[in-house]
Order: sequence, then C-alpha cells, then structure tokens
Amino acid sequence: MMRCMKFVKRSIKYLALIVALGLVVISLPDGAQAASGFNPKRIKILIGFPPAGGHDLEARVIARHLPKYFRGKPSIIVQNMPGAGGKIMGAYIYNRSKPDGTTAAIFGSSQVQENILGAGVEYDVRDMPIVWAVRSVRVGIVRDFLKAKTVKDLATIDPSKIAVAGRSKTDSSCVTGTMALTLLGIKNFKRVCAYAGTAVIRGAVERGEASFFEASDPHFLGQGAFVEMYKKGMVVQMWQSGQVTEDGKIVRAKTVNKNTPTFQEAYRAVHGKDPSGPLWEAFRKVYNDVHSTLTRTLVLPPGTPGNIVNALRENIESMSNDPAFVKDWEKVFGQEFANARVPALEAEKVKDELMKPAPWQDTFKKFVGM
Amino acid sequence: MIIDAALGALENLAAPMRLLFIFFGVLMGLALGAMPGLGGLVGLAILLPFTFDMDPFMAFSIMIGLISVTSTSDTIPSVLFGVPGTAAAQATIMDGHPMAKNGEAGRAFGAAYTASLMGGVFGALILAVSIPVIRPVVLAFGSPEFFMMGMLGISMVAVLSGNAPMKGLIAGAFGLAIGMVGMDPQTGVIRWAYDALYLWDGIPLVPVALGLFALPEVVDLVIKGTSIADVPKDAMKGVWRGIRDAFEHWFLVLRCSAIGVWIGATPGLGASVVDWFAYGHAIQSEKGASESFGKGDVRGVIAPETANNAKEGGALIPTLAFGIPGSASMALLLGAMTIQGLSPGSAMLTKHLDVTFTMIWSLVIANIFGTGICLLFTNALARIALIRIHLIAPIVIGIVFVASFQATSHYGDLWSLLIFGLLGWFMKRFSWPRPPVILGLVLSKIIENYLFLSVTRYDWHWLTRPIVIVIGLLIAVSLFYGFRGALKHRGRNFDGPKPPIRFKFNPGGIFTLIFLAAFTIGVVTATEWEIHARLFPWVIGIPAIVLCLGQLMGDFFGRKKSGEEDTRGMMDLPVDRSVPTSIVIRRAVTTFLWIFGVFGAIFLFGFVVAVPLFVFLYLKLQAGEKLGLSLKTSAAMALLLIVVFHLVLNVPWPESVLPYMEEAILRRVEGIYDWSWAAFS
Repeated sequence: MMRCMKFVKRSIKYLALIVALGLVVISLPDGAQAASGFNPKRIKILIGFPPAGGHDLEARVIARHLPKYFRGKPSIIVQNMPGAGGKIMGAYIYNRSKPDGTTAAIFGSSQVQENILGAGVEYDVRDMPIVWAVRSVRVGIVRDFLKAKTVKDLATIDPSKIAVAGRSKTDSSCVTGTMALTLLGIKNFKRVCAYAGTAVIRGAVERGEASFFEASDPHFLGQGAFVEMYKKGMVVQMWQSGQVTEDGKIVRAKTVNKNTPTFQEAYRAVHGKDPSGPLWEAFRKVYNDVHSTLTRTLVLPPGTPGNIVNALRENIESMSNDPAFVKDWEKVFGQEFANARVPALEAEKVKDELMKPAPWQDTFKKFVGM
Repeated sequence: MIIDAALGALENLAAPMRLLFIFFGVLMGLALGAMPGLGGLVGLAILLPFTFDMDPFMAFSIMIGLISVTSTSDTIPSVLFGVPGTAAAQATIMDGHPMAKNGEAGRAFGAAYTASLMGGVFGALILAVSIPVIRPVVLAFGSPEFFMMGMLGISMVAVLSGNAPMKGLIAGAFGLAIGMVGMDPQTGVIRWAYDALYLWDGIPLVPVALGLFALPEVVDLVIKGTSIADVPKDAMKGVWRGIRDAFEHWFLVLRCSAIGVWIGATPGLGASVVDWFAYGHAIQSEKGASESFGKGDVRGVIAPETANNAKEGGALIPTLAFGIPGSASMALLLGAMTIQGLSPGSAMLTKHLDVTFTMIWSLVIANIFGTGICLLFTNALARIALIRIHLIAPIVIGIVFVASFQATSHYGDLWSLLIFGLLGWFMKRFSWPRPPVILGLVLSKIIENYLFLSVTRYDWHWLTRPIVIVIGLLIAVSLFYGFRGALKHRGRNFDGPKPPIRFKFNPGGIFTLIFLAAFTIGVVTATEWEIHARLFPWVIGIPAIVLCLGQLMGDFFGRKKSGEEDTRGMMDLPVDRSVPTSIVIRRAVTTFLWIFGVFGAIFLFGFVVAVPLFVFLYLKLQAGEKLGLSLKTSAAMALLLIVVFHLVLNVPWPESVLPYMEEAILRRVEGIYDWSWAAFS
C-alpha cells in the first residue's frame, strides 16, 4: 500500500513537471501562424497510393513549381497514404483535414467511380472542390497473336483466346474492357483481373498471358509502358475513348494513332449502327467522363472557403502556363500538357453531371455486380 | 559492347563527385535501415524529387547506394533487440538475437556485414552476367510459376515449424487466413474486414512483424531484468570471428546469394520472405542445423543476411528488362527512370547499357562502403547489449510504436501492433513457432491471386508447364526434409519407457482453443460469400480446424507430463524459464500495462507528446533512473519524433482527443523550421 502511494505521489510530481514544461512551450511565440489572407506556410498534397505512381509523380511536379506562385513561397509536402485503393486517404481528407487550403489531395478516376458505386466509401466527391484536373484517352489494345487487325476481326475470333487484364473486378481497365467487349457482342472471354499493377499487367501482356488491356494514351507516349511493344507491333490498338467536343460529339484524340477509331466508330464497324441502350449510356459516362476527363484531379476538403478555392485555382492556373512546369510535367508523362489539361471549372461541371442520380448509374452498378 | 559499357560506367563512377553521391546514399540507407519501420522506400521517396536536377548517373548512384545497404544496417536492431530493422531482417532475429544474449553481438555483426557484402556483390554479378539472357528467362515465369514460388515459400512452414509440425501448420494457416482479410480482388467481396476501412487492404506486415517479434522480446527482456547480453565479451574480437565465419561458410553464402537473387527477381515475394527462404534452406541443408538454429548459430545469421542483400541485384532484373518492379523500392527506381526520360526494356540492355552498368557498379561500391562503415561502429553497437534493459526498453517500445504507425498512418496499425504483440508473447511462451504466421501472411494474397490467374487463364493446363513441375519437385523435397526433421525429434521425446496416455491440464490448450474458435468463426462467416471469395478461406480454414482438434487432443491427452516441455529443434527464440512463473506473470502484466498505457496516451495526447512522456515516466517511475537522465532521454526521443518523423518524413500524426499540446509544439517547431529554411535559402 505504502509503495503504491509512493508511486502515485511520484507520478503526480513528475506529471506536474511535464505540465509546467508544456506551459513553457505554449508561451513561446507561434512562428508558424499563417499571415492574413491566403498565404500559407505549408501545403500538403495527399496521395492515396505508394510513391512513384502517376499520382505521386504529378504531385511532386506540382510541389516543385507551385510555391513560387504564393507570396510566402510555402513548402509543399507530398504525403503518401496508401491503402484500400485510395479510400483511406479519401476518408482522411474528407473527414479530418481542415478546410483551410493547406491540405489537398490527388483523386484518381477510380475514386470517383467508387463514389458512384457507393461501396464502403467515406467521402463524397460532390463536396470537394476541384482546383486542377488532367484527362487521358483510353485505348483498347490486343496482342498480335490474336491476329485481329481491326475490331471486326476481334469480333470473329474465338473469344476464349481473349484474356482481359486488370487489377481487380472494379478496376477501370477491367470494368471498361469488359463493358466494351460486352457491347460489341463478344461473350465468353476470359477475365484475368487480379494483377498487382500496370507494370505487372505489361509483363503479362508481353508474355502472352493477357491478350486484351484497356490502356490509356500515356502508355503509348514517351516512356510509357506499352511504347516498345507497340513499336514492335506486339500490341494493336483496337479503339479509343476519343475526346468529347463542346457540342458533345466524340472525336478521335490527337494523342492516339489517328487510325485508331473511337469506340463508337468501332461499334458501327461491327454492328452497322450507332451504339444505344442503357449499357451504352453507362459505358459512355464511365469511359469518357469518369476515366477520361477526370483521370486525375486535385481536390480540397469539403467546406473550403470560396476565396481560398479561387486563390488556389488562380495560382495553379498561372503555374500551368509556366514553361518550366510544362517541361517537367511533359518529361514525366511523355505527352503534351496542353492535350491533357482540363480547366478546373470544366472538371467540376463533368463531376456534377456524373454525380446527379440517373438510370445509367443503376445499370453500371448492376453490370459491376454491386 | 558489354565490356566496354561496363568499363565506361566504372570510369564514370570513379569521379569523386559520383563516389560522394554513392557515399551519401549509403549513409542515408544505413540510417534508414537501422530505424525499424522505415527502410529504403522512405529514403527513395525523399530523394525522388531531387533527381529532376540530376543526370541519370548521379540519380541512380545515390538511389542504388541507398537501397543497397538498408539490408546491411537492419541487422543492428534485429541482433540487439530482436526488433526487425526492415522486413528483410526478420529471420536474422532467430539466431542473431540469441547470439547477442550470449554475448556474441560483435560476432553476429561481423558475420552479418561480411555476408551482406558478399551477397550484395554476388547479386550485382548475377545481374551483370544475366544481361544477354535476361529477357527470355524472365518471360518464362508467368502466373503459374509465381504461384508455385509462393507455394515453395509456404512449404518452408514445414521447416520453420521445427519439432512442432502441427503447431507450425496451424500458425501457417493462421497467417494465410489473416492474409485474406480485406477486399478480394477477384470478386470484390470484403472478407473479415467488417466495417473497418483500415482492413480493406489487408493487415499490413510491419505492425504484425513488430508485434509478433519485437514486443514479446522487449517484455521478456524486462521480465529477465538484466542487460540483453548475459555474458560480457570482447566485442571487437567477436567481429573478427564473425568475419571469419562468413568466409568459412562460403558455400552457404553462395547458395543463399542465389536464393536472394531468385526471390528478389520474383515480383511480389522480395524482401518480406527472402530471409525466411534462405533461413529455411540453411536449416534443411546445414549439418546439425535443426538442433542449433534458433539458439545462436552464426549460420542462422549468415543465411538471411546474404540473401537480403543479394535480392537487390535480383530485383533489378525484371525492373530493368521489363519495367516490372521486383519490389516497392524498385517501383520508385522506375519513377526515377521516368523522370530521367528512360524507359525500361530492351533499351536498358542495349542503348542505355551504360546506365544499367552504373547501377550494377553502384551496387558493388555501395555494399563495400556500407559494410566498411558498419564494421567501424560494431564495437560501440555491440556494447549496447550490455546496457541494463530498463534503460533501453522504453526507447525500443516508443520506436516500435512509431515504426508500426509508418505502415498506413492509421490507428489500426497500433491496434495490430498490440494484438499481435500479445499473441506473439503467448505464442512464444507456449512454444508455438511464430515464423510460419509471417510466411502465411506475406504469401497468402500472392498464392491466392496467382492461383486465380493461373486457373482463369490456363484452366488446369498450367500444371503441365515444365518450370511448374520443377518447382513442384523442389516443394516435395522441402516438405520431405521439413517433416523428416520433425519426426526425428518426435522419436526422441522419451528417453525411458513411454508413460501412459492420460488427461492433463495444459494452459497451452486454451491457446489452441482460441485458434480453433478463430478458424471456426472464419469458416462460418465465409459461408455468406460467393464461391470464389470463400473457396480459399475454406481450403485453408477447414483443414486448420481439423489440425486444431488434433492439437487439442495432444494438449489435453498426451504422454507428456503437465508442464513438461521439449524445446529441442524449436524454430523460434528460446524462452528463459529461469524466472519463476509468478514473477513472469507480474512483470509481464506490468510491462503490457505500460505498453497499453503508451497507446492510451497516444490516443489522448498524440504521438509527439505521448511517446516522450512515456519514456520519461517509465525511466523515472519504473526504472528508478535519475531525473537528469530521464529528462535527457525523453528529450532525445522528442527530438527524433519532431526532426526525423515530423519535419523530414512528414508523418501524418493521428488525431488525438486532446491535441492542443501536440499542435502547439508542432506549430512552433514548423515556425522555427520555416524561418531557418528561409534564412538559409
């Protein structure tokens, strides 16, 4: 008992000492307080994946160039929070980050798709302002040994030779690839969607284990994963998502081989008519809007004041016109920045349209099996 | 052409500035390897942005310099505290830590560093000579072959179970089961994760490994109450002995180097299992190993340490030839290649052969630098084993908490650490081998995924592929050796006439019952899932239930007398049974209360306040140290958290209930940091 009392007394004594130390710390001047207006000392960009992927490299290029567009030249820190395909990071920025402009996150198209599917997601992209966006063009490719030079050839070969590669059942490549083949009337193809990433899929395609993959245009540009195989004729481009014009038409994108048809053109070549119906409506939204226009977006926590959102958009806009930034970005992604860039407000518009409840979402959920 | 490129790259690297870059990378790699939970990946992520302004030779010399040596210095915490420095140093604990306890830390370090150097150079050599044939060899390995490689790893469970094959199989099945937690990529079904987002991606390895090995070790050392080493010995003399050991066992070094290269080149395996493969191989092939391993046999240090350095050369093979990263570090190297405008593939083996050879030479030079530096500090490090444990324990516990949090920066990491810490301690006490849990956890997703891919793509024709058959034979040999060893021990349990079978109470049986309950719940829950999602859990879970029932029979109805234990051939760290049970229980409860206290304090005040506070209170109240020493140690811990983890690594600290103190400290520190950075710029 005596020992116990002594222990408690000693504990209280040392805790008092610690509290006193704490008070001393608090009384020190707070050197990191932000100046008036939006002039932060540091900004964190959160990434939901491990270092070195597209999201991470994009954030690092931004972190390198954005500081000079703020008066105080803030430190921009890239922070990787991998887990659950970006859901952990999504939940963190949505629920925990302060809406003061000092935290942003790069969201991928799959995070938008997860929000549409609504399975176990603790964030809502509708509430998160977009301050930057880049698009990509989807490209359906097949291995040369399938002997399909055009989509018409593909529609006639033994479907069991078609092995669709992807990371998971709900991954963008697997979802759009299987939707596209289904729309074309190709059934009984193999779905091998459990690879650990694009690099592993590339290996599987090269050794012939996978014979179909829904890639994107950066994979065929610069140091892209499929450049070498494409040059050697080992993979053939079947179709592309194309680019949506202002009047809503889908045209061939500049970043893909000009002979590669859009999916609509490919469909017409097989069926002799334009695609239509609920599955097509769902496919068009997912293929052209989610996985093309919203490929990567820089978003802020919900509730971020309008003046901060605007300040960030303006500064990022200025950075996007900086040749030094463009050079670094193009070096990493191997494509022209002008072709990839999507104005933040345009991305907002696409996002709002996508998130409005509509019948195509139910068709999509049913197709994916959610 | 190849020789010209090799000589040209060497000449290029001989420039003092480039050597300095390698040296800098080595220093960074050594520091990160020695700090549990960090490793080369963190360092590479920090370096990546700087490579924008470097030429490829500079960029890759510093990056390779860094990753080459993390597996050299990760030996330090493994040997001294039983805490794996990185995932690749888990098996080093098995004999390295007992060596430190026997007063042979210096010898363990000497052997480990020399073996690391030899393994690293061998890996580089294999990479260099494989350049002309690299592509067809890598292409010959597809999903079926990767699946079989995973199965070969699982077959090591038989070896790592030692004299307790049933317990080993149950532990392995448990590892496989916890490896299935999270989203099943094939079906999208969330398995055993309930509503915890943290578990969607599965249970991360770092907190599990630290929980299973590090916490039980600290608790046991506190229970013993002395220093790590029982017998003080001349550390430096031991170093030379260790160096000699590595050379004497040159054939083991050679074999384990080959294993390291092979596993390193297999995507998905790499660092997390390479050491166990090598360790398992050494048990199978070295004379008397099944008796002496786990008790401080230097060969048990040489094997994993050779392999974990050799793996880097192996991992570079698929990375350079195909852009398939052999490990997470290699993915970052690919990122640097992208920044440098280089694409992996045949160009790296032809047009950019000079860059490839820069990497190969950097591997060699970095390993020489790394080993040299480590050997310089060995004497001082070995003496840490002589410091009283009460001074070391709070520091190690604090670092283990911070290290665990690096896995996903989520409170779940700390829960995992605590749960597996308790589990690990009980497993150790009741003589359940822990290595199979780790093997199962790491290999679970790999084998399930590759099996799914193999069957979906090739139906069952993949079973007839030649490499699959060859690896199948290797698995059969591995299983034969593993269980033969176990049966040998079984026959030796009784020296005199066999006692009759009768009921006995065995507290270890309660532990088996817990496993049985866990597997039963797992199997029953899986019934709700679609067939593809529940198939693998059932294939593992149902036999595990049968094994648990068999083990229960052994626990409660056996020939052995109650409490009697045979530890011969036990493939895990030995338990010190010299301390009376009542004292063991009292000290274990006290230490675990402190550990849970740290968690509570982190939850209340945040890491930056809680961990130094814990160090101070433990030293003052539990260890009875002087105020000055307690304050200084606590301040050093605070400085480590603030400078390394907050300012350099930008760790996203978890939200606490009373965050005011932590926020106040961090805001002021950031202010001072920003001000000095601006002044410096």
